[in-house]
Amino acid sequence: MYTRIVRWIDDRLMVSPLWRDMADHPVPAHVNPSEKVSAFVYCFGGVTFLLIIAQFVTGMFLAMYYVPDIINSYNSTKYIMHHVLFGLQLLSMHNWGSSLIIIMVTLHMLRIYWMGVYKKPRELNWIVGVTLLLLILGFGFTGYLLPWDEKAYFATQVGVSFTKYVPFVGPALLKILSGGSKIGAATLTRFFAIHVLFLPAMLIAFLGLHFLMIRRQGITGPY
Amino acid sequence: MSDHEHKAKEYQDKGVVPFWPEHLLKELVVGLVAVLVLFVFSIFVHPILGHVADPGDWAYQPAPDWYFYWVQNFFDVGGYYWSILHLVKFDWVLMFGVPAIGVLALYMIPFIDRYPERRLLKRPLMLGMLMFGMLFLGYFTANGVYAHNTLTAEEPYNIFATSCATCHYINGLGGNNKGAVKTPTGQWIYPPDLSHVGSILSPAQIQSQLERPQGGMPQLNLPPAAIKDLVPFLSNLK
Repeated sequence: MYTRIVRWIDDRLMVSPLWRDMADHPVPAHVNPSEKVSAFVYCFGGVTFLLIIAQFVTGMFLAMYYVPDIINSYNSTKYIMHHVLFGLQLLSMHNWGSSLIIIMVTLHMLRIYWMGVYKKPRELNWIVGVTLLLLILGFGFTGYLLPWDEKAYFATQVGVSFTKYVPFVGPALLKILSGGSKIGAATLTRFFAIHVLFLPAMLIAFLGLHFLMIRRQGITGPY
Repeated sequence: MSDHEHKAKEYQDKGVVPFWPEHLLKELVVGLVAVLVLFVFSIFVHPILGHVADPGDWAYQPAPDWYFYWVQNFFDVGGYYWSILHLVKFDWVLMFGVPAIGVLALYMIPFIDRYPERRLLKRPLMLGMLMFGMLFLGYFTANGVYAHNTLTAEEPYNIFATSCATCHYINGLGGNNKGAVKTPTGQWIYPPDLSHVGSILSPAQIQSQLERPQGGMPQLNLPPAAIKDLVPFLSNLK
């Protein structure tokens, strides 16, 4: 029955070559933590990806209750923390997740740097990786404003003010980012849109590139 | 021998394992530990929601998330030396040029590292750059945390200095201890010495005086967060 369903779908969509590309490929033994415990260093990237998925899931649930305007953002955050079932755990997971991702990404980068993985032919994947790092820091920065408490407001004010030093386009950039001359209602909706729509879309695209290049170029080592 | 068995034999001879399911399942064990850590942390430690944002709270000392402390502190420290060197006109070099060079250097690492070797110890320039980077991040993060703690501890004192010390006096500092002060509305008032206000008024009385001043003290319209900082500060003056 199972085989027949798969064949029925495969006749129409030809998914099995795709599946073979994605999942049915050999992985060298030296990256497998069950072969050698020290191979866990090869897992940092994968763990980061798993944590990113966890952020997507917890973020989706938080977005069910969060309201991005200057009156309700604070109140809805408070509501999530005190009245939503498991809301506090959800918010904590999202909050801790961001910190863990930063730690995992750092470890992942250290492994790549330590082993010189970025050498030919993997230069382009390093460039994609640094872009991913900047996107992840962008998530951290835009997400910090969303609870709209004092810390959020003034940290964003400091962070956004750095853009005004960019030569020529600085003042325009400052205005685009904050949606006006001050951190206010427009900044909040902008940061919300960047945090939940723009950045995830870019993150998924660059993650796709990252993984595609790993599949094309294989895993380095052993050394 | 079926196709699958044939492949399994080939993989075994080469010393490799298939990604699905063997490799992924083992890697997922490591991944699940990370998610479990996330879950356990989320049960025991929760983020704190502060006071609602008040753009008028001039005394607030903002703190970034822990992984941005080094950015803020680098610009604070750098800006201080920049102004000592009379380079304020060239602020953009410090505030844009330096970070731009940093990000560019990070992007260009594969092209900076021309060593044929992969071992880090045989790549002295790369080892040096790593050490520099770690020390840089570590120093400015630690310094940032220290600077923030110092500034937050001074926060109530700063509020006092900017809004109370014009009239009031504590422990020989600030105020008008000569006696009468003429208010903008033309009244003459006698601002009391606040050196021992904590033993005269209760915290609740101090808070009410700050929110709804009586006895000629003008309404200062202090932000709620500033009052929250001032009340314990004043109550401790005994």
